[in-house]
Amino acid sequence: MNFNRRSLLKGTAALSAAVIGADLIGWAKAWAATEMKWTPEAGAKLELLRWKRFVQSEEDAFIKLVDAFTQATGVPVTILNESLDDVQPKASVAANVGSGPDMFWGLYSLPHLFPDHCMDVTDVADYLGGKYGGWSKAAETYGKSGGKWIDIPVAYNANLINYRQSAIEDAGFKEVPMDLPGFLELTKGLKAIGKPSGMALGHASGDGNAWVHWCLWAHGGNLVDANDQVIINSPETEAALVYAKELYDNWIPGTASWNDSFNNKAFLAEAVWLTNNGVSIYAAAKRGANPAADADDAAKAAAPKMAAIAEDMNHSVWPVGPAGKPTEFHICYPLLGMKYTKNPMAVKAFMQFLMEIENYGPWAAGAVGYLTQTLNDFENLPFWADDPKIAPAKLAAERTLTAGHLGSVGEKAAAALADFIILDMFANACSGRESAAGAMKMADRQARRVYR
Amino acid sequence: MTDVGVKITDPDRVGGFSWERLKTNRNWLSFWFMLPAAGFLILFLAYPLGLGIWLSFTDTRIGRAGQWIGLENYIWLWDDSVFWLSVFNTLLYTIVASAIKFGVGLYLALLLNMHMRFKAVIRALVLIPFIVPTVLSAIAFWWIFDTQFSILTWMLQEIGAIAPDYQINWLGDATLARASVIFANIWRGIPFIAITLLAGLQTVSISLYEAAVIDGATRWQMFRHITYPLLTPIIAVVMTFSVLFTFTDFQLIWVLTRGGPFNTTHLMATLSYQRAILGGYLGEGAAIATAMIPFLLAAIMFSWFGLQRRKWQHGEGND
Repeated sequence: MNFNRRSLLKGTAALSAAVIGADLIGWAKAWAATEMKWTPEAGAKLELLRWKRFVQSEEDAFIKLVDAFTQATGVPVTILNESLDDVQPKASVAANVGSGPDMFWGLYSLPHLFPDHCMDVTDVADYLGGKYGGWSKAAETYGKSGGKWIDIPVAYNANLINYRQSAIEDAGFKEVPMDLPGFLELTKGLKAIGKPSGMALGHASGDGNAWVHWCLWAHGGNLVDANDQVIINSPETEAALVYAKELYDNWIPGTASWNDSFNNKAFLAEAVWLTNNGVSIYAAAKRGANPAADADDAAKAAAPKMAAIAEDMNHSVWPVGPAGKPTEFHICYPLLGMKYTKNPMAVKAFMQFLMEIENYGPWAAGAVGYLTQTLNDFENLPFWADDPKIAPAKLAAERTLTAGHLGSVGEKAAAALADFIILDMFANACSGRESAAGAMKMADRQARRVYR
Repeated sequence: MTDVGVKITDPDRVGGFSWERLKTNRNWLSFWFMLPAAGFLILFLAYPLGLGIWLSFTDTRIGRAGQWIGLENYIWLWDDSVFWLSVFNTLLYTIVASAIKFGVGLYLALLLNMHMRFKAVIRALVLIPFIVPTVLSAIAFWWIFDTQFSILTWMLQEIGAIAPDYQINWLGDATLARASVIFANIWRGIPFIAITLLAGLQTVSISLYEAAVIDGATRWQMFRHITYPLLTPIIAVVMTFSVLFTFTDFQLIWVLTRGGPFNTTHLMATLSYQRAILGGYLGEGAAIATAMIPFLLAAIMFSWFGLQRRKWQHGEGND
């Protein structure tokens, strides 16, 4: 997760700008006249709070999109940006208080923390699903609560294995192995040649949660079953913890203190040669390879190194374990409207506008792989073919499981994530503070409290 | 000559209730003068405190109201190892940091009390760590304690104290992480104690020291029998504040470690935030926050009753 770097990808930005350009506003006005299904209220104004962008060109494309909406419908939209971890508290407070931004674009199961405060958007979801080949299964789980849709799952952020091709070749591998024993061999091999890997084990809500949930589910372990009964204390979980400890022992030291931005720093500084992240490290490397004319000397001096990293690095999906199928955990970014809004029709119109392919396509292209589609037809958007290195991100929709997995994706799953129950269990076991059995017991107890 | 033109009303000599009497009654007037300040305090301090305590007896979640559940939150917390870990961390953090801040702060105050050139400039400079916004200094420490990029590690490597590729896990090892956050807190807190004690030192009369010198006292004896006893009331006040601020510290921990690694630097304040706002369990978070109150009360009571004793007020030997 990249909190601090601004990624301006000149090449793709130019492409998306060419596509968007003047065409978009013309199209948008036509859309408003013919395709828009929900007419905004007279004099409507919207406020949208979203997570602060990780890829600059994604934000640029988003702003253009929103601007087109305003020109077409006459509804001004104010965009508020907050750091990723702050969106949930702000949304929660707004829900509690009953006033604030009309829409929130957050992560995971945010709307499920307060489902009664979210607008019913079943009609929007049905329209979009019908028009674009249906929603991916995980998206439907994130979107629905009690039979109706309480949010529109706009996109996933694919969390992939980021690695240096030259490093894994030196360790004797042509590509990242897709089985667990092979992946462990790769990790050991990388350490042996002095190019170790590392993944976040601190309270990193993005990267940390992604890999520990993958590891747990890959071994067949689960926090809860389909009835929300806690089943974390099991031989499968123990196997996952033992495996994770073996990985950890071959990692660079210090991962227990990593939050979401540490691995970005470390990878770009060549302190680690394999980690997990979205495509933002790649985006940062490409951008660092082409510093602006007025960038400082340090940036210019680092440009060749950044270019080398961008050239050498690649992404991979996660290995599959005894569970027999992909068990990845990608962030879903749901867009929800609040019931207290004075302009529900405008909210729905905006949601529809955002997800129309004429908007979504250029915008996702601007995100260069940072955002993965939730609607099935969007799998074939042309920009995926532009750079094979970002192609693995396209598969996030099919390979991901949901927060809570077998159990409900509701406030309990959200609370379990926020309290880092699984992450702390892995951290305790990997670092040796607790035995696997002890770590499981602690997690079991915490989970029982959440799921009581 | 009596002045019959002016009628002077003496409120105390008029019996019973009267508006005149009320208007000059000191209690009545003082009530109205205090009302704005009291209103402010009640609205922004007493009300949230009362609401927080009430919330701790409910199962309120973010997004929906809760019901009264009595002591259930507290009973759960009693058995929660993470909660007790946070209590232990908070006590450890407060005691160690306060003790070191006091020792170093007092020494610094004694040094600053001596006459030297650029006294005023040096005193102002010493205050800087306290003035810099906590978040900014926390971010700086975040980089200083980064496992891969720490300047401390680099320095130790350069002087050969550790192997060239040995990385010190400042914030990833439990003990080191605790030491790091305590160090950051000490760095921030010393100026407050030093400057306040310095102010107290300035009130000690020079003639006492002169008399001691004539009597042949050593510097330690002067400190022990003059400086320290006279400073005791100031120490009581400043340490109370310091303990209170340190106990309820949030920003430093949150920026540096978020309570990690493995919850070993979670203080009660940060755990309360994580459970209440991020996790959505307002009731439980409020219970953790309310659990801080007995400790804080104990600190205040200790200081308050101590100040009541004349020995503390006026120095040793004046019981």
